[in-house]
Amino acid sequence: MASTETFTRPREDTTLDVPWNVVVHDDPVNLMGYVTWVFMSIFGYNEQKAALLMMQVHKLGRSIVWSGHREKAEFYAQQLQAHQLTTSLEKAA
Amino acid sequence: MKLAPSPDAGLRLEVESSADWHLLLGILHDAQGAGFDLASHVGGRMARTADWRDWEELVLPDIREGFLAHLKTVLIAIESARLESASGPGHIWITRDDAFHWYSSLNQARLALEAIHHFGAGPSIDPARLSKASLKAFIRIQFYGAVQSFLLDMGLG
Repeated sequence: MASTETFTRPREDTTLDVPWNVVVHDDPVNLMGYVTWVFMSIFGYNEQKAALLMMQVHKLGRSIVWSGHREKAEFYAQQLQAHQLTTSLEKAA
Repeated sequence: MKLAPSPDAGLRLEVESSADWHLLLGILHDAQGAGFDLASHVGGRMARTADWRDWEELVLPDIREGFLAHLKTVLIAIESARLESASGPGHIWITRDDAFHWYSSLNQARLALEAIHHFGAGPSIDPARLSKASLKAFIRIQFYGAVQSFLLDMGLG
């Protein structure tokens, strides 16, 4: 009978903590001033930055309004949806 | 119906007739019209992520509940003012504390009407080409949007 030996080969698997994007999508209803106000209220952005992001949503159809850890991204997505903005999450490229 | 700023930096809706009360109650009817589910609408794009089921089961019910709470605040305000005036001329005060609830309810109504009628953005709509039902909805959307603009100017708190 042949003897068998078991070898254990350690393997390292490192997964990078990829940031998540919070994406707001355009809709034909929400007023531009309101969208700006929501970005200021939720993220604490100043009016200039909030208005810039709002214009991206309006002109490009979507804007990445925040990036970072998944849990916080989910929190922000929930807040934005509670303010009636169509929002999704995506892994940053 | 007339809108005017109130002395406490709120908004005063002056209701002139029973038709005005009917129009105000239309906010609630429109917001919940045709089985439109706003929470699913604003969260629907999350369906592309792996955790959509969790989102649908754990997050959307809270969002849905929040929307209903806003509608309830507005319903109580309208109904109590209407009863006080016996459905005749009267008024509703919208305080700064309630402004967001009103804004949210009007927005729910506009989003629901848009989902049904697909008016789109911009001034491209020719009211003369709309059906009678769509024209009425279009006029209500314009009215709701005008009140929202007043509320935004006043500050949503």
